[in-house]
Amino acid sequence: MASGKTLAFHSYKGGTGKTTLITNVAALYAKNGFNVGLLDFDLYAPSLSAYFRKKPSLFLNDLLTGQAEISDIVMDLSSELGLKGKFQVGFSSARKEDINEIELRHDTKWQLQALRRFLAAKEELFQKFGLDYLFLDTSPGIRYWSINILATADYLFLLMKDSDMDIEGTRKMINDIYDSLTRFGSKYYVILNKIPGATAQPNTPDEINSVKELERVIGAQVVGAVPCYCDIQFSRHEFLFSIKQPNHPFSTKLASLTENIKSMI
Amino acid sequence: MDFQGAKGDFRIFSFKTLAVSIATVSTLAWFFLLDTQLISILKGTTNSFFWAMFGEVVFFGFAIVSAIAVSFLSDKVSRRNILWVWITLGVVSTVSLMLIQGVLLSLIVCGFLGISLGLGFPVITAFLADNTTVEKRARVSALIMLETFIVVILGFVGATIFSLSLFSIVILCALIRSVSYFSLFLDPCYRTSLKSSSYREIITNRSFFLYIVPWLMFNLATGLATLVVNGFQSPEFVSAYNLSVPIRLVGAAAFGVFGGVMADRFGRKQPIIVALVILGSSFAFLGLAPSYLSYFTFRIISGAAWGVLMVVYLAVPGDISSLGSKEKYYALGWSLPLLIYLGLTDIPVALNVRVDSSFLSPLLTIILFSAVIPVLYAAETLPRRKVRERKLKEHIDNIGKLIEDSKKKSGS
Repeated sequence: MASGKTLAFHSYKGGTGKTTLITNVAALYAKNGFNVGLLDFDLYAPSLSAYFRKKPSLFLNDLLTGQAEISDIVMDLSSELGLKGKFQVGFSSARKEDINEIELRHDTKWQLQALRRFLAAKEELFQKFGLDYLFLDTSPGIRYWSINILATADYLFLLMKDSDMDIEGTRKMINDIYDSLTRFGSKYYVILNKIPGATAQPNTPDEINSVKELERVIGAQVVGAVPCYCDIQFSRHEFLFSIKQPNHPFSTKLASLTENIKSMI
Repeated sequence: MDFQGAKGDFRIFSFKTLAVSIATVSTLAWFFLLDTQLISILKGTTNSFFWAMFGEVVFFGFAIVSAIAVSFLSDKVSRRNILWVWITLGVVSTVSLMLIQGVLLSLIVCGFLGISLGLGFPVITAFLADNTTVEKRARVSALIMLETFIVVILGFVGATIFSLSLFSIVILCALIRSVSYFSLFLDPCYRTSLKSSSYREIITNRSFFLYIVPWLMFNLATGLATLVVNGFQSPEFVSAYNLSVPIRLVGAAAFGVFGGVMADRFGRKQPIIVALVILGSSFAFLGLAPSYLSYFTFRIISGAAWGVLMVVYLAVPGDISSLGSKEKYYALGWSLPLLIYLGLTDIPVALNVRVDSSFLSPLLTIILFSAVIPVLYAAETLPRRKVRERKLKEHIDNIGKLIEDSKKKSGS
């Protein structure tokens, strides 16, 4: 019986920094010696292959259509990144025809069949690859494949920015979807990202109350608040900052977030 | 009320829904039971078939006029007071049937009976629409019609088993009607104080027009079908008719539930179109091959079509109308068709008009198939967002089952 944990990162809308956060957090776990998997299930706008600058021949799309096994798809990037634990990454196809196929395949029968294949692949990743944690990147918003993947996760992390639109959208998503997903045993939390200002952790009573108020409005616990750093936000190619520049405030913040997450799960 | 018969959330219980159910079911059941016996009762009180038929025309006529009249008063008079008068008039006028004799008194009582039907019907259906969400309205309507048919069937069975006299049936009808009082104890039946639209605005409402025309055409066709039915007098057709009566009732109830579920799941247009096309086809079959088998089939199919359309059209005026205007939409949505149906059933029966099925059936088929056209142009009243939400919820349920199975297999 596999005992690994599955963590999915999701957001109401794009641009919340989900891919940056998930890649850095996953890499930190691997740096700390855990065997980690990272799968790009943002099937409608995949970005991990560009992020890691890889051109795989097989994709997660092939797994879902039954044309490839997970062992043929994932790549272990631990040695090239200098990580202590395994870092198995699986990518999605950015080809227009593959994205279109996912967009059009809405029939329940195909989706459930594809999901069965993924569940079997997940089991294989935990058992044969010995993963401790599996990170799943998802497409933002309420889309069928986001929901499919979120439902398979043990822990859901909703990323949001501290704006009225994000707050309202996240709250609605929690009411519409997340509360249903908790029936399957999932737990969900919120991570605030790209917070303006230098304060990484609410220190003053006003800041603490503001987080508490946000938790009350959204209906979910906030497990971390990551400030906005221009050098990361506007970098042409941010790449595993938490590993490459461990002393940067962003990296220390992520390390703290990683510890928070580990203690909660 | 909870009914778990298909996927989806079927929790539609509330005291308001129960109050509406009780009032509507008892009134409709009272109407169906009484209507089958009214001619016989009036023949006894007037000693004339003609005056008995005229009395029924008065009954329906006053029902229609009072329905229209109450829709003008509904935003001026308390809903609760209207319902009190409606129910009391119904019970008293029903009991009066046992006490009257002579043409004049019979016609007066028929008038009051009609008012006791029409006065509250738009009010109670508006109350139903006010207190149901659009995605559950058709199922609530289906439940109400199912309960109505159950009461009617039980009434018929009871009357047959116990060989009830007309007098006893009248008492039974009065008792059934008096059950409506419970609704007033369950809920205060308040009405929103919003002003209602004018009838001119309603008649020129495109959506309402496109939905009401097919309903009128359906009533026109089924009313004209009485002329065809009148032509079948041989013993085989009579026994086919008698056999079809209970099956037709059960079919109407069952298909009403089916229609309500479909209307809330896929939208109102599909069940309307299917009912019209299937009934049109049965008319074609009847015209091409008139026999007691095709006649029997037609009777069953028309019962099913009535079941579906009554349920859907109990929901549609509520979908289209704004708060404050529902009484007028329901008054028009039900009075006009009733007027047409009345004119085309009781009058030919009274005058013993008969028409050859091979002549009329093709015409009825054309009417019903043509009735589909306005529906195709009508905007769906069930919002697409509700259909998407339901599909999403069902998708999540399907995924949940898959994940549970997967966890069981992996032993976690």
